[in-house]
Amino acid sequence: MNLHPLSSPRQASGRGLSLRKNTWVPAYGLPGRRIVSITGLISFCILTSPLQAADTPAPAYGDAYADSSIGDASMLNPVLASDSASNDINNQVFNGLVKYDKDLNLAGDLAESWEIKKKGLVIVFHLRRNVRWHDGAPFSADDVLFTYEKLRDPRVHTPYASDFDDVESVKAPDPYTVRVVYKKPFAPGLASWGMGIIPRHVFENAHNPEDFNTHHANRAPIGTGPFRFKEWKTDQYILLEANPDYFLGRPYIQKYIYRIIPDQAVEFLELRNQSIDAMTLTPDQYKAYDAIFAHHNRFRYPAFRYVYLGFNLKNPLFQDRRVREAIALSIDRNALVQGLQLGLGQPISGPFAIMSWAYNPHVTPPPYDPSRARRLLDEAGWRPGPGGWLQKDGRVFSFTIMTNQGNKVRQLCSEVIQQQLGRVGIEVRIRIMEWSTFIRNYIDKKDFEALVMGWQLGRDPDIYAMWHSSQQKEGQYNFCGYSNKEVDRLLVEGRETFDQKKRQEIYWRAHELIAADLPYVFLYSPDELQAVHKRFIGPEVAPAGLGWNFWQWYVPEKLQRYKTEMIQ
Amino acid sequence: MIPYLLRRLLQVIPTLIGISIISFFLIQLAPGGPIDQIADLNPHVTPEVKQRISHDMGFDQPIPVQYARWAGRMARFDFGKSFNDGRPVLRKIAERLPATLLLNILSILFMFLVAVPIGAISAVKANSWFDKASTVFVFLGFSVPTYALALLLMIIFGLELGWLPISGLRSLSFMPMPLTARMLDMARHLVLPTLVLGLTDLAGLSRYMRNSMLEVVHQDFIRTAKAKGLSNWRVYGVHAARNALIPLLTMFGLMIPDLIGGGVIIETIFAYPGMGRLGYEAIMTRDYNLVMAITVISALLTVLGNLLADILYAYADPRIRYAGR
Repeated sequence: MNLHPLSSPRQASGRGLSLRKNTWVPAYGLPGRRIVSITGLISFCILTSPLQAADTPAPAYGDAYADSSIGDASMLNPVLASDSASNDINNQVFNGLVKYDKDLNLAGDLAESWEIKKKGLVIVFHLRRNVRWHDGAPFSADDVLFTYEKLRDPRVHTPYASDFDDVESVKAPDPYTVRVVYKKPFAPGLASWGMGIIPRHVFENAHNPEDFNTHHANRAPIGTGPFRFKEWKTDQYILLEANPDYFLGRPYIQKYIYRIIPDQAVEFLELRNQSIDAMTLTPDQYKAYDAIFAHHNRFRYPAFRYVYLGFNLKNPLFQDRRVREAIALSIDRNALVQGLQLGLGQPISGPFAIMSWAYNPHVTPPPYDPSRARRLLDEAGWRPGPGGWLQKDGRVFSFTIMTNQGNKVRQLCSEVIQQQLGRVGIEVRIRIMEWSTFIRNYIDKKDFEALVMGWQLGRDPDIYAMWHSSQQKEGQYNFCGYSNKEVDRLLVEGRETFDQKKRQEIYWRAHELIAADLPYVFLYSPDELQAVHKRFIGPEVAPAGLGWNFWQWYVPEKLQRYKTEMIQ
Repeated sequence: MIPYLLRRLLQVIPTLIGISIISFFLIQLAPGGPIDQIADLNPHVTPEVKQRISHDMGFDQPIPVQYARWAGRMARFDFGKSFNDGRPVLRKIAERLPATLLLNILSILFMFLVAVPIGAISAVKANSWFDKASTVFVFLGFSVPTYALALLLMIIFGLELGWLPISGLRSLSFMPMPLTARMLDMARHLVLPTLVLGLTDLAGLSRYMRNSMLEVVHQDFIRTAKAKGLSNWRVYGVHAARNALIPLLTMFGLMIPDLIGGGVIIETIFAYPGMGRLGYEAIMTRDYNLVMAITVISALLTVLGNLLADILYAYADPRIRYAGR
């Protein structure tokens, strides 16, 4: 389930996410290492260093890992599902051809290796041999073809079809080779093959044809991953068990339980009670007394999302860049991070995830400088009038910030901005709206002045959909109306360049330009906060987050809590 | 009586049609649709893809056409499939119904068992210390927010004392247990939600009982009974209570639809897999088929519940007979 009364759909997904196990956020992929330059980033790793001491106990098989989420999965089929709970499970049950490693570089998964030919027009994947589906059938290139057919089938309700729009053909010259031909080079395309591969023999049953969208296997998945599906009690729990034939070796943890606990306060009580082993924490839970975490370790790492104040650039009020800059200078980002995230996050300067190699560390967020803001506004013709509000041609500088209902952080964020802009003489009103109404009637119709929203970003830095000037039609994502010829060119180039070094240069430049144009005031990127029971050895924060090596986690024999026969 | 019943039953049909039309149009008029779950602010999903899926599911048709299709399917008792997970909505409801019925029956039972004696004693001993204390108690239960009460009980009995599980319907080690242990396990999980659900509605019911009892105890036949020298138990427990309980039958009839409609808040707090969460999530995700199925079934039960209350009324109170009307 995507929705929770306390958050927007997308936001709920973010919070429901419990462990980002190599988290596959399909497409928008290919990040690698990023130079860590922002103070504080390094300290995470020290703060949250796992308990891998010198005398680490020997790995042992057994025990169960009780994870939790505020929302249930919808479909355990990677082609159809996009919510975070489904992704959490699908990541354990399925494999893509490629995956992101701990440093966010693309690595082989079901494909042992790949070649990029003809300047990116052709990608040839060499598949692993001897991989078996959980039901024992052998995995082959034919399954990759099937997955692709379904992604392109107009009758299949997949949210990922557009990632494969530029594919001309996919062929299997032999059972262990897949040859993908693109119409034009598409760099994010390689990462899009991290899509979980689904088995043809399960879905194409001649005796019992079923509609793919409502197929029974969407609730009882058969994959190739480290864990096999065992049981799903809707809105109660999902149970997986270790796959002894996993191609990278059998996972140590025998059972994986995914409990659905829709209320975060209750989830926290269950954690304290040790009836669950892991959960996503809120900032105030993370900052709770140490005694509360007697049995759990806390982990913290930058999220692949950010919060922003976006302008409607078609609105005359915001067409003067000086005005936008003045607003940016009047907002104290550090105060926002302190107040809303209790310091568990960091100010950002541009449109990329702070851990991505595309994020340009040389661009700094605008400083908090209200007096310079006043000067800029004065230059733009806004002078203080009666009541202290700025005026120009008899009009008071006043606008409305819209945000969606149910997201407490965004509401508070709007209020802080209202207060901070009030100090320089700008009157801000706040309007909070039900999610669907907000999207359909205001964002899609571009009927807003400014909004406080957030973006959840993929691992690949392609941001064409949000920033290219062609993406401004109703229902598209450049709803602020941003358009810059050079950025357009760079975003197209970024999609066509496979070389990561060159691509980084392109995106650093785009970052610089977008930051200078100020279509958004980029506010901050929150941290992902996780608790994991102390008996598990192996959790380690990396650029990819936590859980990227989950199949290698273990509990030393003496500390095992659940006898595996207890849970079936 | 029989013609009256038949007439009432026939009235159910137009009522249901009316309810289904209103709710169908209302939910369709709310902005958004089922596709938003995968498409809203998801840069992977282009408007063309949205359009295509929408067309494939028939959402691009005018609402009256969609209603006609839905009604056509309904005529064959086909409630359709959920857009969220592709399963038949009836199956989803059937999966949730037992848990909800169990919790609601338990809590209504608890409510009546506690509220009736409290109300009756309060009336007989009106303005005594018991009357005042019980009033304070039931109103406390009524005014403390469910959420706070539930968390408080969870902390005391779950976390601190460790007597009861905090949330859920069963333990992780449920399946391998022998049958008796399973029943005990579920019973332990049900204690807190039953208590919280029952306590919050105790006030209304016990006040009802108190008022109706007060009315009865001042009537002549009670005085006669006392004058005859009957014991207090026979006067109040038998003669008075039987008459005082009649209005409560109406309350009970009105509670029948509640039996299948779970409370969203209580189910969310206790991570309880009931109808309340199902319905709430269906509305929030615009899962039209599921919303409609739940609406139609609850409407049917509400109408039938009212009918049942009327019949019980006639049975319990000889002064009321419907035959002539």
